[in-house]
Parts: sequence; C-alpha cells; structure tokens
Amino acid sequence: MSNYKTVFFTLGILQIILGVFMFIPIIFQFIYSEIDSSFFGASLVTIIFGILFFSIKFRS
Amino acid sequence: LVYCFFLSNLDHDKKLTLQQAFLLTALSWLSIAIFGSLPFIFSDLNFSFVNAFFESMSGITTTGSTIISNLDEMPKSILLWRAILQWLGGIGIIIMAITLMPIMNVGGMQLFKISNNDSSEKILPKSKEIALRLIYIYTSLTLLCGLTYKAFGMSFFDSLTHSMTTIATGGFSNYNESIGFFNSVSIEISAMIFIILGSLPFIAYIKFISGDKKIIFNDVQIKTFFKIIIASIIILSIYLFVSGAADLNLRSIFFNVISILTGTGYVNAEFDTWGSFTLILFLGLMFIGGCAGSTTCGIKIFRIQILYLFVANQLKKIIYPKGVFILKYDQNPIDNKFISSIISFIYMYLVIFFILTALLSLTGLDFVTSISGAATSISNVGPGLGSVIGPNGDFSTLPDISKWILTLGMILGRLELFAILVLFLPSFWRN
Repeated sequence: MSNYKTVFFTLGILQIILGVFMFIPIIFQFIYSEIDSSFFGASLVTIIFGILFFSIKFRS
Repeated sequence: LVYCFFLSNLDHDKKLTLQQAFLLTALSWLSIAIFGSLPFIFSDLNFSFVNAFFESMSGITTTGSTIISNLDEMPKSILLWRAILQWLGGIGIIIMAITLMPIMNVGGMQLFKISNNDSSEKILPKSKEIALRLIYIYTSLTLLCGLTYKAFGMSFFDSLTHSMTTIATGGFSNYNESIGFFNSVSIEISAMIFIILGSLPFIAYIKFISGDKKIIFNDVQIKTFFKIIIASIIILSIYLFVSGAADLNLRSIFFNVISILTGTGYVNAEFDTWGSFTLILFLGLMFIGGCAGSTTCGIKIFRIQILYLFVANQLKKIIYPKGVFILKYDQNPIDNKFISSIISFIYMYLVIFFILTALLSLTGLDFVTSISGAATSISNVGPGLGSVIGPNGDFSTLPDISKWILTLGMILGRLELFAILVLFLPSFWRN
C-alpha cells in the first residue's frame, strides 16, 4: 500500500481540483437561472473523495 | 494545473517509479471520467450512469462523441461542464505527453525526452517548469481563440465554450449542427487556425518563445502535418470534382479535412454524403491524427514518418543486401528499440481497432457504424460515419454495451494504448 501513497495523494489533489472546477458551472447556473443542486452535490462528493485520497499519504 | 500540483509534490521526494507513473496515468483519467460524470447524473436530465460516463469520458479524452441528441435545449451549465472537461483533458494530455510519456517509453514517445538526463525512472523537477509554461501557452491560446470568436459574432457563452473545445481539439459544440450552426466563414477560418495551433507540438511553442523562431518551419513533424492537410484537400477536391458525388465546396472540404485529421470532430457539412472514397479518406485521416505533444490523438505524425522511413530502408536493403543504411529522423539516428516500440504500437493500434470493430458489430451495429465507431473512439475524433453516428447523428441510440466498448476505446486511444494495457500484465504488479 505504501508504494501507492504518492499515487493516491496525487489522485486526491486531482479530484479536489476537479471539484473546485465544478463551481464554475454553478456561477453560470445563477446567471442563467438554472439553479439546481447537481453541480453543488457533485462538487461536494468529488472534494470529499479527494480529501480521503489525499489524506492517505499522511496516515501512518 | 493538476499535473503541476503533482509535479510540485515530486519536488519533495522526487520518487515516482515507473509502475506508479503508469498507475497514476490510468487512474487519473479514469477517476476524472467517473467523478466528471456526477453533474450529469445529479442533473434533472435523467442521464443513466452509462450515458453520463460516456459523455464524461468523451469529454476528458477530447473525443467529442455525444449521447445528447438535443444540445440546443441543454442547460448552459451542462454545456459549460462538457467544455471544461475537454479543456482539462487537452492540457492534461499535453503535459503528460511531454513530461510522463517519454519516461514511460510508450510507443516511441521516448524520442521526445526533454533532456538526455531523464532516462532514469525518476521524473526531474524540470518537468514542473515546463508544465507551467505549457499551461500559460494553452491558456493564452484559449483566451485568444475566445476573443476571436467573440469578435466574429459568437455570444460570450458560445465563444467561451467553443474556444475551450477548439484548443483541446475536442469538438463538443453547444448545437446539434456543431460549428455549422453559426454559418460564418470568419468563425470557421478562426476555428481552423486554432485547431491547427492546438494540433502542433506544444514543446515547439516553448522553443519558439525561447528564441528558436524557425522551429515552426523546421520541425519535421509540423512540415509533414501541413503536407498531409494540403494533400488531403487536393485529393478530396479532385475526387468530388471528377466524380460529382457532391458539390465542390472548398470551405467545407478545408474545414472537415482539418477537423477530422486533428480529431476535433467539428462539422459544417454532411460529409457522409460525399461518396464512398471520402469515407475511406476520412477513416485514414482519423488514424493519422496530429503531432505528438499536442492535444490530438491517433497514431500521430511522427510514428507514420518513422514507419515510412523504416519501410523505405527495408526496400533499400532488398536492393543492396550488403549496404548499411542508418535510419535518421530529424537528422538524428534512430535506435532499433524506438523502431520496435513504434511498430508494436501501430500493430496494437490496428489489432485493438479490429477487436473493437468486431465487438461493436456483435452488439448489433451495422458495418459502417461499427468500423467508424471503433475508429472514432480509438482515435478520439468524435463523429463517426453513416446515418446513426455520422456528422449529423449522435451516440444516444446505441445499446449500452456498445457505449461501454466505445468508452474503452476512448481511454485506450487517449493514453497511447500501452499505458492501459501494461496494467493487465501480472509482471507489472510484481516488485
């Protein structure tokens, strides 16, 4: 498992950034009055998984 | 951005084994496709998982095939998300092709090593600096493309999304008629220019900025890329003029040849009605693709060039059995291991293409849909050929199993086959 910590760490960062990118369509949802929870929910799930993967590197 | 963070991490321990590099490459694309599909699943549009995953994978691999049949009615946020996925996929593949692939020795990509010192199984910090420069260039080209589109009459939203999918040579559009919706010569010319800019090796831009102003005219890959475009346009024009299969429309010929060769997948005409030769030509162009180190997919120009040199060399050896012929690419001698790597890549490319075609036909698809579906997925082009998945069709009516097969083709093609195939070797998992 320790061999793959760097891999999971990087995947975690990747997912957090992907989750942050999901906020951009939320802005457009406000502009074009298309508000629903799809992007917010997707962003939340992606960031949570990202943090989980990211934190693997720091576990003993 | 993602790879910059990743490469920043490498500054600390500077250890990424070859095994980890392969695993990271495959899992990165897979995880983005999975999590990138969540907005489609959570939306009110009733996307099934397979449809959402297909759309997401098509986006991140810059393929451009879509299962959405009514794009004009889609929420702006969904259209923007598709464009963002393609934009991220575009920059991801450029950085990976320049920094990771050469070290992974995939399909002859080792020819593009940034320096001679990175032959070890460790990735040098220099990669970080190069990755940052690539991001600046990619973002600048996107902004320039967006401004050009806006200047020629696109709305702010259309120019934003289309600029992202143009530079990524992805081809997602906000309209069923693709770029043809705008019916504007200026927009189509702009699109062609920026598609070509996205199809050139991005390392050439870095060299250009660093002072090598002649790189665009001296690079053998770039020169051959333009020769293929010009030759294809001339051949297609002559065919259409002589056969009378369709009206000779140079605007459509130029646009669709460039779009298909680079794997962008924008269309401005129903080229599937241009006769059978056109379909064969476009199928061939799909396979060739653009330059290595760009956002394009396909076999890539440099592999075609080296294969050609290798075949020519073999012919010379038949004529002069005692002769010694040194294979040179861009004035540099090519090692036999590069040649074997490239030949095995092309061999696997064709084998996987035939397997995908056979599997698609087993799911009940007709011959043209199967063969063009396999080609468009493995080459990350976008539209296929025929009435179902052709320029005016979409992938929504295909059976779910066909969509899974196509997504497999997309990721295999995007990651240069071996980055995925190597994971299935038991020896890969042993220390």
